[in-house]
Amino acid sequence: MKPARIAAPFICGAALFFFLAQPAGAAESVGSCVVEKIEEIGGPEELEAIVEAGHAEGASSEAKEALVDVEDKLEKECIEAPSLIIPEINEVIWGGGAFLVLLAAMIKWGFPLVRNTMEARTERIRTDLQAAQAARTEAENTQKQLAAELAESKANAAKIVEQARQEALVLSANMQVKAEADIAEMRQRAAGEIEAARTRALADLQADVAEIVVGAASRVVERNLDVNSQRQLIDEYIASVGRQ
Amino acid sequence: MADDLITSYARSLVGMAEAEGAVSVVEREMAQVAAAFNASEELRTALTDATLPAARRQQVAEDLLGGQASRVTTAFVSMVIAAGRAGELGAIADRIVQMGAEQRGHTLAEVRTAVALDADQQQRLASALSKATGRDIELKVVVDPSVLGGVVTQIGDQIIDGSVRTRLHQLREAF
Repeated sequence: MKPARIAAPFICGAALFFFLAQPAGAAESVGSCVVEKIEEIGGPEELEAIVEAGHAEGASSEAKEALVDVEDKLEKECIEAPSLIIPEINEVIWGGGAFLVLLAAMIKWGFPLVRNTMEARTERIRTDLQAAQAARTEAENTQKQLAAELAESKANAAKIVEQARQEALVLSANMQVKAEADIAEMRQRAAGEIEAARTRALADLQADVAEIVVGAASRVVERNLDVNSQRQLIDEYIASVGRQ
Repeated sequence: MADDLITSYARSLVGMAEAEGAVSVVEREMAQVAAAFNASEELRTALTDATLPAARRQQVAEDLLGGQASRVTTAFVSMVIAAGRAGELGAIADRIVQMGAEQRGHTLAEVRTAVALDADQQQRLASALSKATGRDIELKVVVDPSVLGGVVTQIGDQIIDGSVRTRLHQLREAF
């Protein structure tokens, strides 16, 4: 509903209140009331005459009654204050009229509007409650699902950890076996290399010794091979060839 | 190719020697020339030095051979030097000796010794080798000091090694 239609009855009520309302009865001053009442009595001279007649020594009962009537009239109608509970009649009329107008306006527009608003609010609250209930249910389901997934995840994690632990154990064992094999191979290779180096060194040593010995022998032979030795060697060769 | 060249030179010299009726002399002289050529580094350098004029190198050879070798041998050596083939003189001489032996129906045996063999030793060695191989052996003696002592004989692909050098080598191998 548009805000203008909602505000219309309140604006009409306010206009009636300000333009049609009249001052309450208590608004008439005591002085003006007294003046008015004095005029009704016949003017100040007449009032003064009634007062003097009523207070005069040996005044008649009529004069006293007239004085009492004037005093009552002024006292009751001008001095005596209006009732604190019962409003003036014109206020009752204006207030009642305004109330009726306002009531009619409220019945016509206000109450349906309030009812519609309340119903809409109720519906909205119901919808919100249903949505909240659905959200709560969904949240609970989600929580349950998350809890289940968390439990499954924990189980999977534990399974993975256990599997990793087993694989690590197997890997460790394999690595240990491989390391031992590598060490054995390295040890064997090192032993082979040491043996080869020893053999090589021994061969080199033997070669060096042979070279030294043969070199010494060659020098000795060369020094000792004189002509006779050469002839003897040649003769031995000829003899050996002849025996073949 | 080089083998064919050496054989051609050898045949030409043998032809010249046959024409002059001095085959055996030329063979012996060429064997001596080859021995001297192989034994002397200085001689090889002098005869094969391309920086020297060919005439100068021919003069060196003729001075060395003059009066000691036949005219055929001297002329042939001079001709080989002039042809720039002095480096093949040893091989040509060996081929001449081999061809001469083959013409006589003999098998050439190259005998290396540290000292020269006298005629008696050569005769006894040729007889022993002929007996051992069953062929008529003709010796080509090469003095090779690296033999140290004893004799090394090569007949074709067969080697009969009785040198001190080989014995020392065997001694070295035995260690």
